[in-house]
Amino acid sequence: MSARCQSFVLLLFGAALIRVAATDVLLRYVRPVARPWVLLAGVGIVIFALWSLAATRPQSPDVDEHCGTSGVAWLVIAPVIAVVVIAPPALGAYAAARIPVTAPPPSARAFPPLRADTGGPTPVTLLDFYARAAFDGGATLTGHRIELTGFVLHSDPDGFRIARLVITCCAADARAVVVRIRSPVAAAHPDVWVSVIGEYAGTSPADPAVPVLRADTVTPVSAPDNPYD
Amino acid sequence: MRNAAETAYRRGLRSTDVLCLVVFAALGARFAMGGLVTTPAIAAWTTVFAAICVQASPFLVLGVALSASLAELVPREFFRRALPGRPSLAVPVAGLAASALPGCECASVPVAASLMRRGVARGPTVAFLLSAPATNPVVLVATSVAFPGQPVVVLARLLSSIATAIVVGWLWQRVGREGPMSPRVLPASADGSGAWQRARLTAMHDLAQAVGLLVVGAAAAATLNVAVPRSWLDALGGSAVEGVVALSVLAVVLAVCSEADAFIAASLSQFSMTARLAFMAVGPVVDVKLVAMQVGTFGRRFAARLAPLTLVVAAVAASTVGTVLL
Repeated sequence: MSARCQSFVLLLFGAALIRVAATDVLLRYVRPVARPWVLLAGVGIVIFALWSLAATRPQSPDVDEHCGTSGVAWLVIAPVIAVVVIAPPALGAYAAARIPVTAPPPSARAFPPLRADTGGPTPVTLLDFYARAAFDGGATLTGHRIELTGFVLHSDPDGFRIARLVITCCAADARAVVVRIRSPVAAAHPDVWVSVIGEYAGTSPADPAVPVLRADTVTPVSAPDNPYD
Repeated sequence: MRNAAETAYRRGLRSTDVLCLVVFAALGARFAMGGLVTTPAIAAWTTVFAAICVQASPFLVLGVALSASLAELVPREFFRRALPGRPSLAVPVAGLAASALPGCECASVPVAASLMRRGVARGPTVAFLLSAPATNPVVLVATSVAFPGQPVVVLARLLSSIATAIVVGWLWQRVGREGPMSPRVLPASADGSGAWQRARLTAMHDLAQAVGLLVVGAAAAATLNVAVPRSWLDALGGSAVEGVVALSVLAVVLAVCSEADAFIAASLSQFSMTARLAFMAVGPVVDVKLVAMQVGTFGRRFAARLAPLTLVVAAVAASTVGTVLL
């Protein structure tokens, strides 16, 4: 690959990073904290590639000859195609069904009481719901009307399951948090986001890592900006 | 001379043409088949693949920028003058000093080659080569980001990598033969002269190389993530020894840049922490692309002896440190 071509490929890569970091597409892949760094990397690569293009004469020799660059530089296009052309959605039911439910133990040992909103149900994240059920016996959950938001995983005989993926760093390390919803309302299709309101009802007998919510209201909602917990 | 330049010019045109074709084909695909990827497996694979590339890119850029400016702008005499005369002392000093060179393994090979040319003994050079990609601040910061709230992982990684570098450096000083090691001379600048132009060329080559190799690693990791049944990895992850062996082999095969490997280690959550530490200890010092670079730089015999020795020492060091600390 010539030096010019290498610059072009890097220019595309940098531009793709900027495009990802400038929008909420970023949140499909990494945590929000990574945004400034990805943006910085993209801007740095673009400036560097433009500088290289300006400094390289068209007839400059092939960099392969002395640096031993193999065709591996061509692969730089692959992530560009992945994020710009294919632009896959965030991980959902397919991944969650394959990932064992091994959510991490909570960082805090003590669970403060849930904030009791006047009137309305208390919104709780799936991760928090799971942690309070698994590590605190659900003591802080009982007596509250709880609102959970997640995507439908699959239906069960007496309801359905919703899930949320938890990422530590990027989508490659996703783990699933699953909650069983006992509800008379039939399940929506997998990957449809729903908001369910109801009461904590212990853990699933077959699977102690799956807490249960007895729901009375199930509402389809639009997917949140950040699909991961 | 003119002929060579003409050939290169034509070849340059050709690779640019190919690039244009690829870009237009991709654009065409984008418009013609917007909903092409509806297969959940392919979508999930692409998401994981893109996620690893996006997450690792800032670290690659930082590492390549720093190592290119250091390698080209810091006088090389500096390293030799700073090292003690006795090799047995110089090995640990070189191993520790190497952590000041931010870069991945791709960057440390050329620097080690230049150390060797400046007359640094073989033991300290190898200690430098093995320590630099694994113990520098960029890699340690990446590790702490990948394992949030677990600073002991960073410490364990630092200790096992330093131990690997020093032990292999000592062994190499004792048993390695001087031999005809003739690291290839880096070329004078291709266009224009001066440290800045050379630094720019080095950086561009390193960056394209590093991103390209990251793509290989990310693709392999995404395939493992999506295609391989979880039960296989879980079965391997269950046993302590098998886990260490499996992830050491995986580190060699995946050949992920040392600035990105912590993120992949973090994703292999079905393995024990010690096994994942072995992944991070082996990856920066032995992997398929690194061995290829060592063959290209130091010769086949050097690489054929160094790689197995390093692999064993790194796996043992990680197991020991992991058992004690994690």
